[in-house]
Amino acid sequence: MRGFRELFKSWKDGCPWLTNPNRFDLPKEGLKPLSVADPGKKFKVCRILGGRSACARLAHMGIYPGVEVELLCGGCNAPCIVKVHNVTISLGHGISQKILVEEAGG
Amino acid sequence: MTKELVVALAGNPNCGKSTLFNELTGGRQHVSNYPGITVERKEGFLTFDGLRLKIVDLPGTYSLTAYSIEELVARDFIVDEKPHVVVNIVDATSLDRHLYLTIQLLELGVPVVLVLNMMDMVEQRGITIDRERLEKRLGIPIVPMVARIGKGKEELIRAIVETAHRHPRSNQKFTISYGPDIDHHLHEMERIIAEQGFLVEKYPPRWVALKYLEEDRQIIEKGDLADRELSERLKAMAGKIADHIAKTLDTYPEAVIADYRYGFITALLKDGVVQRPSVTSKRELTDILDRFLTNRLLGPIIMVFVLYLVYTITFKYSELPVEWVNRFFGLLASYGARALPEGPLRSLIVDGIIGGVGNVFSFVPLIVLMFLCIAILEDTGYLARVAYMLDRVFRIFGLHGNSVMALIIGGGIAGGCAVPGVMATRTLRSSKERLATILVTPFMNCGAKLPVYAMIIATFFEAGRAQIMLILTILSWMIALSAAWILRSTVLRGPSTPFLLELPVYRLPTLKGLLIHTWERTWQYMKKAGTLIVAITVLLWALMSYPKPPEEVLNSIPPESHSQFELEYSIAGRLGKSLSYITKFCGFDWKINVALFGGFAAKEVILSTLGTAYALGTEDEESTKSLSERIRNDPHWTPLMAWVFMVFVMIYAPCMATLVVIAKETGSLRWSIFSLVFNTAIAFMLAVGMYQGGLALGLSR
Repeated sequence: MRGFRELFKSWKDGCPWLTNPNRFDLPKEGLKPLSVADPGKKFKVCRILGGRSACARLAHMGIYPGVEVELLCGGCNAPCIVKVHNVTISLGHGISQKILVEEAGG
Repeated sequence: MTKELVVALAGNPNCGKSTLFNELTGGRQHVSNYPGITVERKEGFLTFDGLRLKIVDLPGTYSLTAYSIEELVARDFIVDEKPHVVVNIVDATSLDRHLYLTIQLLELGVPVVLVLNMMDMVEQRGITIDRERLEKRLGIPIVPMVARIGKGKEELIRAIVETAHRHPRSNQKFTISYGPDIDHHLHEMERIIAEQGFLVEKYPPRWVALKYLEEDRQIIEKGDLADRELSERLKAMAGKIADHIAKTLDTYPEAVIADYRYGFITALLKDGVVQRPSVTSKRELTDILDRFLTNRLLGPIIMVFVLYLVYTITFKYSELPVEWVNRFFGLLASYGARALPEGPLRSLIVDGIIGGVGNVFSFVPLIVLMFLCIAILEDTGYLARVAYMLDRVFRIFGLHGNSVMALIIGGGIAGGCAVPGVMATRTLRSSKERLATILVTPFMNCGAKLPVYAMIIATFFEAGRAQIMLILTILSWMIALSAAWILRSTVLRGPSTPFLLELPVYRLPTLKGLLIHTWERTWQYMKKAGTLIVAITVLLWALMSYPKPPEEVLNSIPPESHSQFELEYSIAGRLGKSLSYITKFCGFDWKINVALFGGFAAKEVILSTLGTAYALGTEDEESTKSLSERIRNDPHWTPLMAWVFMVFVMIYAPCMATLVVIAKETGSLRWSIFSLVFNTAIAFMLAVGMYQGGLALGLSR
């Protein structure tokens, strides 16, 4: 259902999904949600969408803007596993969509 | 007079806290629930040098915010009950994460002893930790330990006693900087709080200021009560900082605070405290294992296999002990029957009390094995992976990945038991998801419903018997999940907790830990649920045996119908008769009603009560067979009726052992009553729908 909606939205935006493999990318700022990032790479957390309590819970688990995480498992919109501050954390689908990251340099 | 020291044990989940607790207290511990909530409170004792140490195991937490019950419980205990010492245990292999809690404890100004656990792993990886330097920087005593083998225990106890004697509460001040955006205002707030003596009897001023900044519900509530005006002023100041942070950094104060805390820890560790070997490219074992165990394709397959294994171990290996228990109580009953003179007393002791105690004990082997399996999965760290993999599916229905355990144990693969199933929900953290899971677990096909199905299927269906069992299994999952969805969008509405779970490092569990875990949970069941189950069994026995019909009426009917008539004459029989005015809509007569009423004691009883109602000898070995013949020849029973009956048995009121456990687990009788009414109502509506629909379609024959 969600995929369908995404599809519809991108069709409305001029069909970029046909040519762009990262069709879920948010075009501005070059950020993308952790849920679609490539596993095995390191990312810098840039923004966290969502309410204050969700952000606070994430922050206390060590995920906050500016921190570097390693995506161990994920991609393709699936729930994912990250390594941060030397600890492995699993994130549900809903929450990994709200974490916007950029690829860490190097 | 011996002096008692109160020691609180704090630490992240998965840092070896329970292991240390077991190591310190041995078998001498006491488990209870914090009043009104489902968080376990564990206490144990230890004597040392004429001193009595009361050790309280706080729930495992990552921080001391007000976002979860566990964190509130831990914080309130430390603040309200003022333990002499807080022992903070950390996993020394990932200090960068675990010191986060330590910092918060220090900010709270409590006397802390830091335990660096898993020092063996640290050495193995070639990491060195400069203990003295860390001690100096944090200003607290530090004890290196290997909790699983008890190494460093002596030194820890000595450190605890020393700290308790030396350290008058909060005489030292530990502060860290939160950067220019926050520090200045924080200092201002701190000054006002200290000047006005606001909440200072319990909390240090700077800590209160921080909590206002974090919009901590509990502290603000307390502040509002203490001094409304000042509290409003602080809120306004905090709001201004939050606005500023939102504008400049596009985030919340909590994220900035976390950033600075982690930054402080990183700087501290880099400053000569921790030295790691330069080559660390080697993948750790956990990462390698996780590549298979949480693999997109392989992961679920392995998981299904593991869950199936848990199920098999729990139920297959308990068969024999359960049979021994039943045989033992059977022998006891027949001995009682021979030794006691015939009469109501004999019936009470044999059928009521011995039956009831036997009922309690027949669950024990199941519970022991179930908790042992769960303890193994939990202690190795695999359970967190299961929850992670299943969360997506269960989330749709408002449940949590951890719910799967309860549903499978409860009979997800036909033949479980709801009593251990409901108890298995302890692995769930969020109370609403946990309640929903507890309430739908009894829908699964427990082992006691199976003989009922088996008899009915054998009687009415020639072909496809296995398929009918499969249909019933699928049906129970569908009903349970839909019921969960209904509950979560009505009575238990609330946001689903975002799935955020640490995947702990895989570890081999210690035998001692497993045994203690299993034993304490089983003992709790026997002590608390057991007594109630016996009492209710006796009550149900009385309802089904009294009042006795008068002698002259009994003499006028043939002796083989005596027990049938006695049952009909009893309160339960009368209840069944009056209920048949309603239950006729789903085709149930008083005989079925009374059998279902008996099934409330335990679902196995349905068959034997039905036998009595159909005027068969109760303890006859051939009773099942003859009952089958009897109902086949009864024009009232049709295949449609058989389906309606099986579905009703599947979902109607949980047996009272389950209800008692539900009351114990949720901490209130309310949910047991709810479950009783809710399940029976759903069962009744479905049964009426099926029966009337079937009749309308002309399926009566």
